[in-house]
Amino acid sequence: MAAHNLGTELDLSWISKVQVNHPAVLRRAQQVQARRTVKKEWQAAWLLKAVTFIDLTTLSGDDTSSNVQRLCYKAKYPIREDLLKALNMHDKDITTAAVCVYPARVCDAVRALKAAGCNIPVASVATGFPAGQTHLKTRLEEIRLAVEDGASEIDVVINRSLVLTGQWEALYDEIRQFRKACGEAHLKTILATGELGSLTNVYKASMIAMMAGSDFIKTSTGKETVNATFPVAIVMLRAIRDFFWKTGNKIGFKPAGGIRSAKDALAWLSLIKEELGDEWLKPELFRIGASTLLSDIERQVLSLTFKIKALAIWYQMRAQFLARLAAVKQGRTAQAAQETKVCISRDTVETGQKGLTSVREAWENGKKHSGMLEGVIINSYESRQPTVCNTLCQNEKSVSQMASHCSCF
Amino acid sequence: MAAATRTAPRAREIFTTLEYGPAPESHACALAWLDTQDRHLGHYVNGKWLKPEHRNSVPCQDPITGENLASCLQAQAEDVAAAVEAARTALENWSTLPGARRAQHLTRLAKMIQKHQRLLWTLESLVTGRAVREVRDRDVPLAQQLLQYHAVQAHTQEEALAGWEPMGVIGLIVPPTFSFLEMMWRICPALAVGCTVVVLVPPASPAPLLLAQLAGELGSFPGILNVISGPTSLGPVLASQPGVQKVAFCGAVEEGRALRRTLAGQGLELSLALGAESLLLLTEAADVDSAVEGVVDATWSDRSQGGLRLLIQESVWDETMTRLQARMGRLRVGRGLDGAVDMGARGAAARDLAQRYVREAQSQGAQVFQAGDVPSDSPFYPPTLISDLPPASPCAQTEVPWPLVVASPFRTAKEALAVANGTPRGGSASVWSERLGQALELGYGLRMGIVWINAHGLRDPAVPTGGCKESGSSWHGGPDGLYEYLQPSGTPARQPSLSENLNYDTFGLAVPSTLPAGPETGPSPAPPYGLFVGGRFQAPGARSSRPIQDSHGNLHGYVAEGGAKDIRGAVEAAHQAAPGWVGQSPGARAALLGALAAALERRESALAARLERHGVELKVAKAEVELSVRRLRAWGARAQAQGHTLQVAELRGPVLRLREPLGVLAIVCPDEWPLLAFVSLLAPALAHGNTVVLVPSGTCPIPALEVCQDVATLLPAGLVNVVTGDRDHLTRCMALHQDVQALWYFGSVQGSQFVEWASAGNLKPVWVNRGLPRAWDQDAEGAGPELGLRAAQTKALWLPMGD
Repeated sequence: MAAHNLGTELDLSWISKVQVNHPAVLRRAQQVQARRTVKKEWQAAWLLKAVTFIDLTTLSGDDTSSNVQRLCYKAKYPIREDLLKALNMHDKDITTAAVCVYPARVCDAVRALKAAGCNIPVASVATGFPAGQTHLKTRLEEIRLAVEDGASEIDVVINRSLVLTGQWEALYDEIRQFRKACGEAHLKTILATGELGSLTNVYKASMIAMMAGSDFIKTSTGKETVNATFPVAIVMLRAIRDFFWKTGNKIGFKPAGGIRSAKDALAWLSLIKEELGDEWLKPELFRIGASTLLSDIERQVLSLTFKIKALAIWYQMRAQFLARLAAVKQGRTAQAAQETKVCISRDTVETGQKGLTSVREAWENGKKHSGMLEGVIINSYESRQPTVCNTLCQNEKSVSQMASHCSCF
Repeated sequence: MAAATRTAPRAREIFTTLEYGPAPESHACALAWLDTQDRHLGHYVNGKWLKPEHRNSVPCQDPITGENLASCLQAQAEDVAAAVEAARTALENWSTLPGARRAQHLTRLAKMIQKHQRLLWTLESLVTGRAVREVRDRDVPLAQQLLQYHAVQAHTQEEALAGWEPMGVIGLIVPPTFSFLEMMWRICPALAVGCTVVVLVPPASPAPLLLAQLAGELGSFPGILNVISGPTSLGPVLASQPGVQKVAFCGAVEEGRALRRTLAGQGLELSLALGAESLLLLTEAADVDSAVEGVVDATWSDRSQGGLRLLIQESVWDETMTRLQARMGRLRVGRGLDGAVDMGARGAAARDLAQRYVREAQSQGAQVFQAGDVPSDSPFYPPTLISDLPPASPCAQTEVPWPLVVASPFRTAKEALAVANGTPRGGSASVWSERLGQALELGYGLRMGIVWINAHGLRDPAVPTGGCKESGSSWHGGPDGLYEYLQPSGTPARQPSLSENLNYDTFGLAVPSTLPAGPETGPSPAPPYGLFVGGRFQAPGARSSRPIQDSHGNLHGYVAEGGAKDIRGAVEAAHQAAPGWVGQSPGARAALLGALAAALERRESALAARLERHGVELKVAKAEVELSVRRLRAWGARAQAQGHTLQVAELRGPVLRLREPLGVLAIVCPDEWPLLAFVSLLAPALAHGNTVVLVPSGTCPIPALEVCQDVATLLPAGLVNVVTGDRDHLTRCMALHQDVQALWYFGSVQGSQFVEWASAGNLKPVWVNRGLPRAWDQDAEGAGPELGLRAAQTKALWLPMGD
């Protein structure tokens, strides 16, 4: 992991003139989601990358060592091995970036990960999570204990009342003390942006947290009513960029709470890419705090793998088929006619509807019966079923639809 | 499985680089549609495809690959005539329908677009090269909203727009680089109020043809929307077709000027929407990052057609430039039909224009910065930022083309206003400042049609969109868009053009010299002598006089003979008085108009006597004076309520529709009704905050001069200036004057033609009567809402809110 952020002296002039225009940021947030999209292999690769950014989290009152153990196993093996193989990514050692638990569960997590033989860091929330409304002394003690138990990343919550009353020096001092208490562990500061009142406050709090030495700034605890939203993220990312331009220090960013779908994850990745650039797209500088996101990503990768595979088969089939068709059309040479006949005779399917089933079978059986698909295509052409023929030959989308259908069984 | 193994390493590679991949949008349906036309597009007239024989055709190409998509027929005069004929036939039925029926039809068209939106957006993006995201997420929904909004307007037309009637057949000319949306903005209000439309689109633009087909396939009313494709040079042909009442042109400034000159005297209305440059004013109190996004919205997101002039306060210049350049690096340029690009390509013409401008700017000492992910082997042009352009260099004056941003610094808000208002363009601008007071000061101060505060490029059907100065004074959207296609009920139909051969060089150039013409029979005390300029009566520059005869042909007296120099003086005086008068509240203006009315009332018998000498019956003369008094009071009261707030969907915060004065308004009063017409024209002009230069009735200027005696004591100096003299000569001087913001002319046919021709200079809005008399004593014509509409200009001020 990267070196710590040592922080800087408190310089209130960095936040005093700040202006954040709320409606303009909202518009940008809308746009950034609509202007970028990734498809096919790109989407699969991006999703796998997103997995490596996840802080796999469980923060519930009913956490026990058994479910923490399960979580750690999932962190080590986030995506089914066969899928990774299909995408030729099985040797990339894809794990989540960290697991994130309550302080009392740190020991369990450390033990489980050790047993699994991996060095995924354990992150612990601390400082009176999620409200932060306890005495400073106990909050600092909490950090120290979590670090002693083996947590290498500490997610602290800030004292929102200091932001709302504008006590920026006090906020700076508190986070400094957190920093000191962390020792070698990384400090991730949760700003709880849903409770800061305005975007301008979000910017100011971000800047103070970075000046005080946070390695990451994090949107929310996941326990507020409003969690990680794009507008808030945009403001925080701009603060990170400003801090980088001023000091040369790259600070990490962690959205957390409410990120559940693979589509969301892709949008977050492209937001980071757009606002900060590629150099922030690594686990040292970007995390996604999530508990249920992983299963959706896995689902999506599954269906994408099928799609990509199906398309590949389809491309191959179509090329062969067209070549043969051309031969038949032009020369009707004895050999081509013979081959065609053979194909047709090999095909047992008669109607177009059944043809689709056989396409599915062709995938299932892979190379073995690949001739069958071809037979279906030629058969449907010969028997003047243009719809089926066209669907198979021209509409690449329908194939991917069929593929997604196939992936559901 | 060779292909499958080929893709896998790609996924591995992408996993490391996290690059964007192609995200192509299939354009199969656009091609399929072109196939239904056999890749051969004609015109869409009267609900049918029109593909006449023996016409030239131009290829319609994919701007990125250069692939030939279809060939498009070029219209000739006969095709234009056929289209206008269809529109004229359709008009009879369409204009007399109840508004509710028209509303129904427009709603059906909106539904039709909804059903075929995919075809529409892929076709538009394929042919224009614009980013499909912009067409799909913005243009197509907006097109539907436009239809729905105007359907509502059509529904309420009978009550809300009583006293107005549809103009008739509208000719619409749209520029080569345009979105089909530009057409929708204009046809929706026209169709809503009951006009029918012939659209002349540039060759190779199939999206409007598709729209016409969708409208035609609704079945009923096939001829209301006809689209023909052909060169802009067919514009005058379209205008000269009998039945065309109005031509709406949008395009380049010079083309608009030329069209204005060509169509002078042809007896039809011409509205111009010219140029596409926008302005962004970034103050030190701005959220700079958001303002940078505003710059992206304005030029680098395929949202607008033109470039941007960017004014940055000096204290945040460096910061802004750093952020802007960093942001530019992240822009992606590519094929329009890719779902993940910011900017597409717009064909060779747009690219050459940009290249030429950049080269010239460089030779004049400017810094050019280009960035972004741009394919190199291509017709693409990268996002470009130009700075350090010397203020006096030619490039600093000419219009900035797409996709260029020209940045220049300013020191204070006052200076920013001066710079921004110093350009001849008056289209749209945005102000970025978090200080409410400053933002409003700048927003109100900018002489622009639309001003956004802390946003750029927002649009809504309910908000009028238009411009002033050289951007042309036509409006679309909101109530103003409707009035563009309405005329007061009872307006006579267009007259065939009479005086085509007017010599513009000599019209009104020389003033016939006047000699002593015998003893004066004028009354005693003598009426005031001189030109009323700057609040007092002055001797004319030419130091000569012109005789005025009474109704019996006897010499009644002399008035001063004004000339070019006097007009200049009067305009200058009016400009000086303008800030003070604009600053007055409507209430204060009403009070002063009331005081003037009272003064007129006291002068009633004298004025009536003057009119009587001019051959008016005493009873009628008294009525005229009385009516004039009423008019003054009425306009004072009307000026109280002008602008209003609009509520816009998807925007928190209001949009203010302001009615602002035109500036210095020149008025040539008609010869008839020497007092009433004078007052009827003066009152609305003053009530709306204009300062005026008037030429009174030629045959009987004395009553107007008498009124000036009261004006001199009651109103601020320079507010009203009255210049007597040879009407043609004075008209010439005012029409050619670049600092007169608007001109109303009531006089001869030739004069009207000249005024229209000369207005092409600074593109001032003009109102001419084309030699037709006007019933000044009737309220509809003498004090109708038309005067109020013409006496002020609209500005839409967007005020998004939120914290």
